[in-house]
Amino acid sequence: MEHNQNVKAFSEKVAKIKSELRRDVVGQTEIIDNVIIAIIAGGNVLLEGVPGVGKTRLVRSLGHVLSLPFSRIQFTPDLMPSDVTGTNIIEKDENGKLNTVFRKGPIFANLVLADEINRATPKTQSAMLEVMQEHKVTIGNDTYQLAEPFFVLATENPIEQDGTYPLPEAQMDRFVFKLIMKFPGNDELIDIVKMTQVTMDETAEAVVNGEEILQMRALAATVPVIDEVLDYTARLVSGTHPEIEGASDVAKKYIKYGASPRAAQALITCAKVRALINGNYNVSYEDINALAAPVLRHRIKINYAAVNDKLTVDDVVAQLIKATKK
Amino acid sequence: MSINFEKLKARIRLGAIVRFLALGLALGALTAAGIAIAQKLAALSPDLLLCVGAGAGVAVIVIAIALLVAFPTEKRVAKRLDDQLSLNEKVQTMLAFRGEQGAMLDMQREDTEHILGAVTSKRLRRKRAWLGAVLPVLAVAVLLTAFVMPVRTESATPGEDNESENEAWELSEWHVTAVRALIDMVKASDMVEDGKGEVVQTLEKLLSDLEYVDTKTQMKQTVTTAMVKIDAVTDGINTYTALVRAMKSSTSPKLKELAEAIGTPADPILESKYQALKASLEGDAIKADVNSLSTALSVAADAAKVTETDPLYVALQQFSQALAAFAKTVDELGEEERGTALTRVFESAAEQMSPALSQQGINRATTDTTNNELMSIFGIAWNDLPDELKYPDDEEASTEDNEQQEQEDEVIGGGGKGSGEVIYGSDDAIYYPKDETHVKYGDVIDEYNGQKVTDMEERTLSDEIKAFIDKYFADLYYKDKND
Repeated sequence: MEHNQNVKAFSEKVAKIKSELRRDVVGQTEIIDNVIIAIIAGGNVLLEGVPGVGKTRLVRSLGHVLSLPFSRIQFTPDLMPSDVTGTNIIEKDENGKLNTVFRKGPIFANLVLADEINRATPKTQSAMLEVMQEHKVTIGNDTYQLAEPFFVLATENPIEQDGTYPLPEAQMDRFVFKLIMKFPGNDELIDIVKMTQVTMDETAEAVVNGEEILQMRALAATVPVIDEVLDYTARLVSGTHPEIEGASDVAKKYIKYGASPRAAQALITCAKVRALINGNYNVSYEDINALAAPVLRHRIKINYAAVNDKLTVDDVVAQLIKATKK
Repeated sequence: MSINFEKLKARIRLGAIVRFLALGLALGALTAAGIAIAQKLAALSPDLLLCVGAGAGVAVIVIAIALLVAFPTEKRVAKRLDDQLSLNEKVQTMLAFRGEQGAMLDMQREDTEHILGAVTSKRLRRKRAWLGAVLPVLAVAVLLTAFVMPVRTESATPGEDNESENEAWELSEWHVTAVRALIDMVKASDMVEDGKGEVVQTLEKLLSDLEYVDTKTQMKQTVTTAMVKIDAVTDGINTYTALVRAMKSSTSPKLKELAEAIGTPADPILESKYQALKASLEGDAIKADVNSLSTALSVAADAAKVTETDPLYVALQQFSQALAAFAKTVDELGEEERGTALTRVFESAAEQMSPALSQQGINRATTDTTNNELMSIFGIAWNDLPDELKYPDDEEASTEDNEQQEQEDEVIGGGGKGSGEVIYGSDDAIYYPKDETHVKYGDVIDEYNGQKVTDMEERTLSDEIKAFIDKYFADLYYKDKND
């Protein structure tokens, strides 16, 4: 009975989160859904979109809705790793004694917006790696644990190629999803203008807290997956590797290198959350297929043959799904 | 396990078994029908045992394979339910985790059970389920076709009547009257009594057998069977073939000459050959030659293993004894006396053999005429005859005669009385009613042609009939095989 109530509460909370977010973010339904999935699943999200489509606003609003401390890090070429993680500073105490004190960086928040992450240097980018992966910061001999839930939403601007440092594969792999925020449609643009004429501030209210997010995460983890779906997921991810024996024709023709095993982990973890959000108590092929593009698009590299055939990475992923038998 | 799943599983399995049975029976029926149709097309009567056996075998094998390969296991049932009802792997998950505990698993089971409880038979129906009925319907249609389709018959010889042999046939009053007349003819003939009785009996039986015949094929079979029996009557009575074969098998050249000189029952005692043989015996070695001939003749006659009271056998034995008696006296006779004495021996033998040979000729003629009349009455073509009637294996009709007969049948083909009547060439004998004997056709053809001309001038005949008759005689005169 308690479990039933937990599941019911899960769906209700997710519905509330979406509802509140829509007060501040017009359209972008798929983005909102996937961001919620990522947060509950415990993953990080890379958002790609042109300036002004609402990336920062989304994260701010999310912070309000989830009652979680939010910080924004604007990545620039001169940003140092210590600017992200924090650093030791020397302070004089009341007795006049000089002490070394760790001043936490902006990373010490539950929700972190890493804006234009591809503008920072690789050194600064790698500072994020440890934090995103292990949810802790190590300065010297000291390790500082980050509060849970911890979620990084990084953005990258696709049009400004000058002065950017492409994210390394290792860092890309740490993002569970890569989501693409498209320019809003005409009606959505009208709604955005109307809304922001009233106020530019986020108006979403808190509906859940960090503890509840963790409970939702634990509940989603219990959603069962049958072996056939696991096998399908594994074959889908393996199918992105053209060098593997038995690779699909799509991979051999269009992919330069494939996704890591983290892709399969991300698919299953996020599919469980998606299933529960949709009121299902088991993971289905449909869940895997729906999340394949966000999970794989930043993990595989398409070759020139795909470019020549005017195929995007999402097109290639769609062909892979078609080629993988259930 | 879920009650609702069990119910649906049972329903799906029942449906699958019914489909497998229908598939197996349909394919079995198609196999049986296919074999029956093939046999009918090959002009054979369908072998019911083969058709049913093959069909049953195919049905069993197909059903067994279907059960082995496609039987709805629980996993397959679960997958089908998920796919057909768009349940997003709910049933498969429930099946995979049955027996395991957990709050989420319990909820998953409960949710799935609830959904399955609302599934009706209608929702379980496959799309285009009607396609499953196509094969059984096709099988029934093919079976019916195989059942009603007639057996193909061999195509008739060009020029002959090509109507289906399976057409209905019934014994008519006319047939009965004609056969009764034939019976009377046989009774009135000079055939030996034993043989006459057998032939009459065979004809009587033929009439009674024909009452139960429904098709033309059966009728022809019955009639030709009777014809074979009738022909065999003379084979059983006539001893000419056995005796002449025995004589021809001898190592004595003179005896072989004698066999040739005796001729046939239709044309006995070929005078020129007979005289030639006698003349050849009148040499210096007359005593030895005559003794040798006597001995060989007696041995050959015994070797033929015919009845000792048979007139021809008796005549030949007496001929042998007369030759032996002559040989004993040859030393006492002068040359001229020898010739006269030998001539008397030959003449005496000829006088004794002729009646026997003639009787056997009458026997043969009676059965031949009977069979010819049967062919005419019932429309039996020469091609319908079994080989033993087409090519008799006896000395009374030689192989050469048979070949000539076939060739002339090809040329004439359908001319004369009824269809397929045999027309003999000019050297063959034909029964000449005026003299009540067999004569060479060449001897009477002019008379017949004269009669033809008179009839064609005096009677009203169509131009087509006149042309046909002219051609008929032209063929006989000139044996024009290319017309």
